[in-house]
Amino acid sequence: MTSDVEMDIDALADATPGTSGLFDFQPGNSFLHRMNPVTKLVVTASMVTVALLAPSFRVPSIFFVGAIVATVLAGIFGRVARILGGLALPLAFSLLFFHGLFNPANETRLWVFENLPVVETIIVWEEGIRFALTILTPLLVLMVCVLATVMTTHPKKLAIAMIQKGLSPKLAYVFMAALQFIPDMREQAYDIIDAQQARGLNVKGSFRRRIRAFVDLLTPLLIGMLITTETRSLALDSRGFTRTNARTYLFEVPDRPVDRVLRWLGGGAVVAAVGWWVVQWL
Amino acid sequence: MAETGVSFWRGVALDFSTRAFVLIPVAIGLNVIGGTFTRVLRLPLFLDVIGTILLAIIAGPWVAVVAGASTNLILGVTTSPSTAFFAVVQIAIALVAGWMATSGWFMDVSDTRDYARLFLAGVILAIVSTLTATPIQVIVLGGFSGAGQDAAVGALMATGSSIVEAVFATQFTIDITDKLISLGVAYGVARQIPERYLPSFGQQVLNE
Repeated sequence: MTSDVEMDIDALADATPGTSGLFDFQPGNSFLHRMNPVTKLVVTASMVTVALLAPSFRVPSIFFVGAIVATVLAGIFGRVARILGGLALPLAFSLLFFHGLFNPANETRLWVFENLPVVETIIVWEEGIRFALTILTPLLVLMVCVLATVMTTHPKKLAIAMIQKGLSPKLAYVFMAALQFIPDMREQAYDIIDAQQARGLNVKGSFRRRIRAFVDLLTPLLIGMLITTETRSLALDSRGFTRTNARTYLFEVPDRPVDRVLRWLGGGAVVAAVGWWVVQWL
Repeated sequence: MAETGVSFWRGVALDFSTRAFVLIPVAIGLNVIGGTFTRVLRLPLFLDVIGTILLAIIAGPWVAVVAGASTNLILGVTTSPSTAFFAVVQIAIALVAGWMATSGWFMDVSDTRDYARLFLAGVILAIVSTLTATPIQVIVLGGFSGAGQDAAVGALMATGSSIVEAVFATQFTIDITDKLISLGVAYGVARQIPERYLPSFGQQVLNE
């Protein structure tokens, strides 16, 4: 009976979109969705740490492929790929282009393009490309892992799981409230932009004028926000915000043995990588 | 602002009143919205520390540290994961601005000397920001971020500068304008907040 009720609450939570348009949660029931949110964060952090400490871009490349496979299995590959394209392509272009052509360590020619208009020859150097890939691949691992975590975790469940692992409920409030505030503030900001423009605010023109416009936009937004915080802090105090007793939660976030194993594996991998790195360095 | 006779940690705990906790999400929102406005107005700046500096002035350095670090962690999960590394910059800004506030840099600003000190505060914040951001930018991101400033960094590298020099020069050029404006806006807004909505830290910092 009780489990039926819990099922309903879980289904309800999944059906509501994330706390906001910011947290791009995709409801589902894959192995990534069922994993404890804290496990996902620990695995992400350890993969990125190991990737950053790895000597070449081979280890991070393997992680990257692994993470991509996981997103395919979790059914979120399409969305991850679309966002990754917007985030990673400009960065990849800058890194490969500028380091490939101008890195001070460049010595070995990789490709030479001749008879080009204007610049005549372009030489792409091996050291620069290697350096760019060494920087780029851990960042790709970071991006895919974070996107996968965000898309498969309901923000409320993330907050509960973090509190159960020892995060202060007040800090959890800060994150949840900020996630709710940002879209509200953004909407209010666009309203203020429209209202000020209707009163003749110039958002084009010289740099000085645009800086002034910035102040004219920010002040009303902020004063309004500060006045609502007064009410909000009274409301929070009346609901026991400062109490330190144990709390009860609407959802239950399971923490299975497999989660514990994964967390230990992640931690162990980081220790091993740091150890290896120190030995190399000595 | 720790009262005399109260231990350091007790003083920090006193800064974290319910009102301070309510202000943190507002400051985070402000940091994020600053970025939105810069896009609307096409300003070549970040303007992502206004909320952090404002909190450092009205609620103290430690509350500002939480707001600043959280801003970049939240941007890390909602916008671009690599932003999370720059939480270090936010923490440094929060601590330095908070230290300035407790040392009375923002108290009763009226004559030319006070304004000169405010200007100096902006310059110091720009230096702090550049010194903390450059190593992160170079070591973690290889000097590039996938944003507009890449062109400037790349142009400097093409003319023979090292990666560190190129990033430092680009970063400082943006930071000096960015932090002066951020501090000016944060201070201006802090002054305009009605007394009854100011936490006690801010009342002491601004009015003694």
